[in-house]
Amino acid sequence: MECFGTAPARTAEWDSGSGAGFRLEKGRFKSMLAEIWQQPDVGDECHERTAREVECCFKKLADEWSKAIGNSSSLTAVARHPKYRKIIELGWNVLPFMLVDLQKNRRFWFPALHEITGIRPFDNRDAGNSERMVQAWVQWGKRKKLI
Amino acid sequence: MVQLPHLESGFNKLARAGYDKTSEATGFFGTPGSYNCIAWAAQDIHHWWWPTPDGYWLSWVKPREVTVFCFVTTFRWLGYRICRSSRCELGFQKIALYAIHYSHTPTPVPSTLQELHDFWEPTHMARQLPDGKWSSKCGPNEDIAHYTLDALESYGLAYGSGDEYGCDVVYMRRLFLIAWVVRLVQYLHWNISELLG
Repeated sequence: MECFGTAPARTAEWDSGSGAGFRLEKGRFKSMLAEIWQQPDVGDECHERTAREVECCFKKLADEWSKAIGNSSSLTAVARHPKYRKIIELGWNVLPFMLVDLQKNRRFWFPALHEITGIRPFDNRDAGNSERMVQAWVQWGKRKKLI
Repeated sequence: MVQLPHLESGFNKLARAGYDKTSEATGFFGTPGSYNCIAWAAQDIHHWWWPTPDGYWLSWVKPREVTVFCFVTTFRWLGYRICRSSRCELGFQKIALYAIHYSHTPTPVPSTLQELHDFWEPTHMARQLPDGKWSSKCGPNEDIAHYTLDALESYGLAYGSGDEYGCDVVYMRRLFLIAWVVRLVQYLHWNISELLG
């Protein structure tokens, strides 16, 4: 309720006292918008570089993690491994590489994919059936144009 | 005797305890034809058993969580009941559950299941062979027959082993007659599921 009470007072201040200042801010805002509008060209380059970096980082971490699995049967232990956690921290950008790796090398990316996307695109009854789980994730990746 | 350096570095007691390789490595979950130690204990070589949303588990066992209770409940469905020792008994098939204390250090095994449930994480299972030896599938690697259960006792690099299986904490047994019935039911269940898609 207090918020509703204070808002008109501030609006009144803008209207009466600092109108010129506001117009100035508005002008600066327009120039900022223009800068942002030009950003995509630079952004694309940055994005490309970052994607390459993410791919390198992913491949390095994935190989290190694969070697570190050892004789573990536990899906919880392998998904808790620090290298695996670092891969998850790469976030959404790692998904295209992860999905391609899943398709080609069948490595265990199911928990990582779930943690990043928040979904499991396969039927609960297919849990443990790696063939169907891979198929479902690859189809999801294609639908989302990630691969 | 075939030597498996990747297993011997994982379990520092294994070489001294003695073991034999009984099958080839299958690869980790995701590789076609892969299965793990829990599946091997349940006599299933088609799935990777683990009670997480991505692993295979008996669908009616709830809650699906990595606890000693969950493993014990699941194997009760396969006809096993908790028993006192790992000694070979005529007419019974036995399995051993390995778990590690949350501190990941060698810890005395508690006498109650509740304590095991609260403070220990299941890691591995071994199945007893008719001659008294134990058979283990070591993650994505080979199946081995080992003479003692403590051959796979391990607590990570800080304690001289690459792996962290902890130690054997629970033993379960079932009558061979029940084992045959359960295997028949399992066989029918998987084949019917396969047919129904």
